[in-house]
Amino acid sequence: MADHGTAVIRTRELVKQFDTTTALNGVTVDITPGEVVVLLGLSGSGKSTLLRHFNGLEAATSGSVEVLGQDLSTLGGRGLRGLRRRVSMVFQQFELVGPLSVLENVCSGALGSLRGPRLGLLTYPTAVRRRALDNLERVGLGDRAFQRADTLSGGQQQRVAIARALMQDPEILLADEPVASLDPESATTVMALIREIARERELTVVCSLHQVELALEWGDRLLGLRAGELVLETSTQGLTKERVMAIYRSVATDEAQVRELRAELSAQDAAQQLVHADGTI
Amino acid sequence: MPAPALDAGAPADAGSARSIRPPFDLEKTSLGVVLVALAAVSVWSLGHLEMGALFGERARDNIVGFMGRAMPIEFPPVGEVASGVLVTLAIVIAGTALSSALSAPIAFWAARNTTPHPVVRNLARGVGVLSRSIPEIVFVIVLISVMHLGPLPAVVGFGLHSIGMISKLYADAIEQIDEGPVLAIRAAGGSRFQQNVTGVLPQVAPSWIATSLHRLDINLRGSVLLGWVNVKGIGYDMHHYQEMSHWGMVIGIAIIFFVMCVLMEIVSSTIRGAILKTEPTGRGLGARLARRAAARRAARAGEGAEPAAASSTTTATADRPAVPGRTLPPMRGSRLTTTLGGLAAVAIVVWSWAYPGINWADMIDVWTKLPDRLSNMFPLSLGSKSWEDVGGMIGETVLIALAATLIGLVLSLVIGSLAARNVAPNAAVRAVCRGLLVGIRGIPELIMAIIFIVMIGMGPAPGALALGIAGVGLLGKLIADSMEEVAPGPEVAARAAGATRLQVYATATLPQAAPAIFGHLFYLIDHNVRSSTVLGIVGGGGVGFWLFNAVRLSQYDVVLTITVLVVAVVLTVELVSMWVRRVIS
Ligand SMILES: Nc1ncnc2c1ncn2[C@@H]1O[C@H](COP(=O)(O)OP(=O)(O)O)[C@@H](O)[C@H]1O
Ligand SMILES: [Mg+2]
Repeated sequence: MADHGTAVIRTRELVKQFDTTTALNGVTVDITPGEVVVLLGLSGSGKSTLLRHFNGLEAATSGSVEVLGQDLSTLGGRGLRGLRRRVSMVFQQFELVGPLSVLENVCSGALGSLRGPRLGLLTYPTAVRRRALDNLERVGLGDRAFQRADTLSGGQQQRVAIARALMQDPEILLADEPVASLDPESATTVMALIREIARERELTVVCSLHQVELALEWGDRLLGLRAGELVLETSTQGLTKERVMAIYRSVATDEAQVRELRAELSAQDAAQQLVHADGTI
Repeated sequence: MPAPALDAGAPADAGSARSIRPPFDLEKTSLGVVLVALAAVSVWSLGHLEMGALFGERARDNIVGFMGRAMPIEFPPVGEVASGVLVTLAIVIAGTALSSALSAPIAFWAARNTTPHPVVRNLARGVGVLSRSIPEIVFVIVLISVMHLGPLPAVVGFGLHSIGMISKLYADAIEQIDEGPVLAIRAAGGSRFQQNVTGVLPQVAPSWIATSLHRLDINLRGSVLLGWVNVKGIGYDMHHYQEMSHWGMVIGIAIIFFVMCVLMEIVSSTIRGAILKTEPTGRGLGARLARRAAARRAARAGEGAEPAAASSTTTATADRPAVPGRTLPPMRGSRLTTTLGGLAAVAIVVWSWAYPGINWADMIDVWTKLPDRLSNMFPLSLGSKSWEDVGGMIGETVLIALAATLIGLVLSLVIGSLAARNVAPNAAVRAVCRGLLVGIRGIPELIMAIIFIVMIGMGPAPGALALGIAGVGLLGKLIADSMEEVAPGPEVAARAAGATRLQVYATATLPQAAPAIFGHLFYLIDHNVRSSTVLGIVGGGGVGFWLFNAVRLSQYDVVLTITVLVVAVVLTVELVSMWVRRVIS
């Protein structure tokens, strides 16, 4: 387990209920500064919901969420915006404003630290535009600044979205299935970019993925969700795809086998525990 | 006027290695110039119209005096009201039904994917544009001169004018269909007519019905005007009492009319909602269609991009257990609703033609009288006016339309935005704004114009005000709907970056809705040019006043001249609008 004192994100028994669905069921995690954590899980397992708790896009039904030392349940409008400014988010569908230029989209990442509404590139301060162009060049798209955002390919749009996220000078980067809509080649480019930037800027990254291979390749640590519960928590060191799959499969079928696998795995990788302390799956 | 995403700034900073200013784009720059010029002219004409009078002492005295004369509000006897309401409803329904029937073939000719020939397509579109740009009241007036005064000229007049909008929206729906089923029928040796009826019609039926219902609303609101050309109905009663300055009664009837419009809108939007969601009309034919197209569907399924309507039909058919010996699905569920709804619609349309006492002989006689009337219209003539007078009147009409559009746009942006689910701060604000929009739509432009004339006297200002406010009902709703239709993702992204509500609105919502809003805006300008002509009837100024004088004096050559001029202005607006939309998207 991570050192509680330095955790940048910390949840305790987090439960999220949507009408009849329990999207998160008692999730307790700590995320330490500078690590790249991958959330793994099938579609519907609660990855997006968990990520959206980290910047207050969702509010917990019960349990607590603490981000950058602030308890989210105590934050209202202004306080929440102040926190969101320090936490960037990247989405599966990029979520650029299609009709606006690439550069204006990047600039919009700075809205949290600007006053008043902005419409049109020239309504942004020169300094913001300069920084936007720097960030755009960092993701390799400086030459696309004045193109409409919706004329770019998916991989390019996601890189623009990353540049937009960098405008916040974030401490944490949340990425919700950032490569799920991309071809394998663009996916690699985007994941590599996220990793590099995380290292350069000493960012903490929480990234959800549903492909085990990608998770093993790009993550420092895996958190596995299944039906809203945390069923896997391990370092990626020395972990193989087969083993992860086996754990997932057994979670669904055979309790005894799980325990066996878990024992095996923890023997090999004693530093990390797979499952909750209470032993439930 | 906002100009989102259009910052066409100066050329690059000479000094720096890379520019943070967008490069020069001729088309976008011209667009910016045109929009700014339009905005400037609108602002200027708004100032020119001296609306200040509206807030002056005299206006207040006038309205207080008017209120005094209008109180107490009176209502005509129930029998009189009922017959007025029913006749008006019948005329409007019959006219919309006629128009829908005429629009169907025109739409097939005008749609890219069903037209027999590009020449036919352009002709069909031309008919639509022409019909749209001639105000319904002009059709009615000319028809009255060749028919007996009564419901028939009104029905046909509304029918002809509505073709413009209905055939355009019908054709748009056809262009959006899934081509698969049509190809399947063609491949199976079906004729063009069979392709259209079996392949296209089931797919477009929900959208067509929704369009006709929408037009029914619009026609009902426009029907008051019929009273001013002596066609019986609720507008006739209103005009009658207005002539006698019996204001209590005028207000009473206006209230009845308002309730009627609001009820009609509720009924029609409920039906529209139900049809567009469940699409019951597609089922019966769709079932047969699906079997024929099954092979093609299977091939396409791999490609994935099938519209929901088509795939839901397929599933419904596949899941239905086969009953031996039955060739029709059981009469229950959506099939029963569709059948009953269809029968009710047919019954109502039949009633609408039977009830108001149409002079059927006119249908034949008109063809003998029409050539004469048409020959009266040529050569075109300005009557006693000089070109200079005419230029001035057209100019005034355009200025009224632009001023009205500006009033409409500003108010609509505020009310329409707040009426959008994703912009309104809470449900209560949204409900109030939506209610306000429905309420404004219920008050006919004509009634608003009369009220403003009472306050500040005749002239262009009351017309512009009335059109401007009436425009909010129309544009506000369209803006609200466009805003609700934007992709929510970019809004979430802005919110996640710590943007305020207003910042999210400006950066994510507005730019996404802008292309649609520009489309609606030009539609409103277009609408206002036509309506400002019509308001001439109550002394609203502009070319309309001249038009109705010409009618009174039976100068049909002048009527045609004015119509041609109005059509020319409307066409110009339409061309500019097409260009703007092309540059924006
Ligand atoms: N806004 C919502 N309203 C109702 N149910 C929701 C909502 N968001 C998510 N859910 C439900 O919560 C569960 C977890 O969803 P999600 O977090 O999106 O999963 P994932 O991102 O892992 O695919 C799913 O069953 C989903 O249907
Ligand atoms: Mg998700």
